[in-house]
Amino acid sequence: MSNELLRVEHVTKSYGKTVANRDISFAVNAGETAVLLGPNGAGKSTIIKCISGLLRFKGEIFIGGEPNKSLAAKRRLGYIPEMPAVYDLLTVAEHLEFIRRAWRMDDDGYGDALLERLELADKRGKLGRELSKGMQQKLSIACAMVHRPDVLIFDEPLVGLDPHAIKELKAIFRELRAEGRAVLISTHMIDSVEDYWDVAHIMMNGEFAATLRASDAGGQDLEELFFAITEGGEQA
Amino acid sequence: MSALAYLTLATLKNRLRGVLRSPVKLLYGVIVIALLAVVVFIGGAGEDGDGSAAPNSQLGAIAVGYFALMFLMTANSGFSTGMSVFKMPDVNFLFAGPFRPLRVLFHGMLNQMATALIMAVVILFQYGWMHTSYGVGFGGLLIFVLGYGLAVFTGQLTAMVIYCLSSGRERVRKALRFAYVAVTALWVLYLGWRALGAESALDGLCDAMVDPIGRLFPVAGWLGAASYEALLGNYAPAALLTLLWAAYSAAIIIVMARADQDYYEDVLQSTETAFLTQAAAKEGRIADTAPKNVSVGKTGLGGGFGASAFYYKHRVENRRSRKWLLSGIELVFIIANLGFAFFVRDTGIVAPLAFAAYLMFFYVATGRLMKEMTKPYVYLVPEPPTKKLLWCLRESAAGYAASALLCFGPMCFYVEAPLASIAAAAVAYFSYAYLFVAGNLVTERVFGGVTVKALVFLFYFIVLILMAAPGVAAAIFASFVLPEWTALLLLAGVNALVTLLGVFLCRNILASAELNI
Repeated sequence: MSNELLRVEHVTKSYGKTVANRDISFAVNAGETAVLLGPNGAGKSTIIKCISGLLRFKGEIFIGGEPNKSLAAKRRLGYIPEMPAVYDLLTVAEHLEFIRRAWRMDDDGYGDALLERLELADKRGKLGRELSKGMQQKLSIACAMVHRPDVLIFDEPLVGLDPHAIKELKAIFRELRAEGRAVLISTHMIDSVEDYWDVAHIMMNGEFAATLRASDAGGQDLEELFFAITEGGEQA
Repeated sequence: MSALAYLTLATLKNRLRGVLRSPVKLLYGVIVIALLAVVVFIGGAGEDGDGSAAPNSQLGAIAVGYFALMFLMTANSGFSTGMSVFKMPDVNFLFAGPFRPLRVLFHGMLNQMATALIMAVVILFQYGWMHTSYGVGFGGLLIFVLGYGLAVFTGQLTAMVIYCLSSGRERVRKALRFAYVAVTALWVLYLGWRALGAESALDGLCDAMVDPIGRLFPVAGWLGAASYEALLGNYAPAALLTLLWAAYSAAIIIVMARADQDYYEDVLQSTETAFLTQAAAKEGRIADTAPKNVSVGKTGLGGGFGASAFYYKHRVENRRSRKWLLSGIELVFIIANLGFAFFVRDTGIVAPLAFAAYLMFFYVATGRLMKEMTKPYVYLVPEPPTKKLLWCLRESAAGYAASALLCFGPMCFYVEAPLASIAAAAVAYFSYAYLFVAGNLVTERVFGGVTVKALVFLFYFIVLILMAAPGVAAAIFASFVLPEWTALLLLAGVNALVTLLGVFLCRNILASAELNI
């Protein structure tokens, strides 16, 4: 229990009469990578927005043991949104400086290393509005990581990235797990998380249809398991 | 330096640097300053010899009325999509970051206030007539700019609070809506009562807008009357009214902060909507203004073959986006036209027509054509381009006709002009709608590649003046020898010819999909 960095307890989120998430509970431990899978409209982005503190909900969410909307929780959270939106009039380097100031950190060179890794180093002086969508996504990832959060939440992180960035990001996922961070990834691209998932929550109609553990999968790949559940086939 | 202060200063620094480094933006800045200098110079030259022009209740009424229009329109959005003072990066970086929600709110409001004040610079261009007619100096004009900026900003704050308090709470929404309509209706009734009871309706209305009751209308009345009193040198009432505004703003901020510290969700949707609209515009897509819940209704186009298929498709799209003949803003402008005509009813039909055509400049739209041009089909359909263009433009005809009817029909009862002249004015009004549409096409055809939209707007303005000139000149010359209604019909005829010429010259606009729309 003390190993849990992210805990979601009985979260229900409704918009009027529409229930987007119904009684969702799960936890992500330190050094664990959890993935949220599901068809469009399953409620993946809604639960991610709830965790990130953007939406109100019934139930409780804790980050590092603190309620998710507290400042203490937010200091330990890194959020990569589905829609990369960066400040038009800040340069790439200024984005990282802003994040460091916001999280009250000194420059330890990690931001530069991230820019280097994501092939943004030569874009340090470029304004946000001069970046392509893929570059904005990379900058968004760098901003979410530069303060070394314990819990990282990625909402469709691979969309719009070039092959090099996809390769680097996959490597980053593995490193984060090795460093003991809790990582939650929401994605449509099942094959993109095939190599490093620990727990997979399959969502349908706002609920968890199944929770799978890689250690229990018995060598079956995630895609087979996913379709067995979502398309009514026999669950393996 | 705090992170939020750093964000504000870095943004400001980069904005200034961007202007200095972009020749087009610099050119635009120089043109704007030069135009302003010309306006001030001409305004100064037009000063009365005896300097008798002085602020009066008409000026106060203009301020209160204009501020009220802007405030009500802005605040009204709180009942639908809401109004957000935030941008999408604020959601991603500030909402999810370690900041207190109240500090984030103040940061958003501060930025919004700066934007509102920048937008208010447009008022500076009104210096000429304000100086000549009312003796307003440059300092007085700045007071109006400040008042306008604060009215718009407070409208945005009000919209945000309305949305936050009523989002998902139908009863609260209805109660707030009732209060909004009731306060406005009471004010309008009072103004109407005073106007009808006065010897001159216009003077009665103007006096009522700045009298102790009329100026009580929230925000717009306070700020408009405060600006007016400051111009008159009555600083005590100006300060009192400003205090009233400050108390209202403070109360709204306290309501926002106390009622709901957890306001992020409330502004999220409107911020996302604004972001998606802007992103679509940047990519050359035009977001449809369809309502959230679209009722499909009857399926099938119901007609059309070849180029006309576009017309029937547009009809279906309009039905599903609940756009009937006239939009809400068109109705507001029609009411404004009718109101203006009422006050100048003794002068004939030409002044109301000129005013209606002037207002049309601000809202006439090309309907679905511009949206159509951002998709490939209108280029790919194997039909002559002029034909496709005309069928695409046909969709708006019923709306323009309805607008002409609603504008000029009621005028038959109170404007002192022959019926034939009023009917001819309605036809001329209709012709202006298509003239402006053609002007829009010509501007896109010639200046579509210019990336600074403000510059394109300036070109559009010049193109419209050039295209409208032949009709106006023909009507003026004809009026010396022909009856008024014939001159107005001639105006409509010349407008129609210029429109057709414009459309014909732009027919190849559908030959390539590379325009910067």
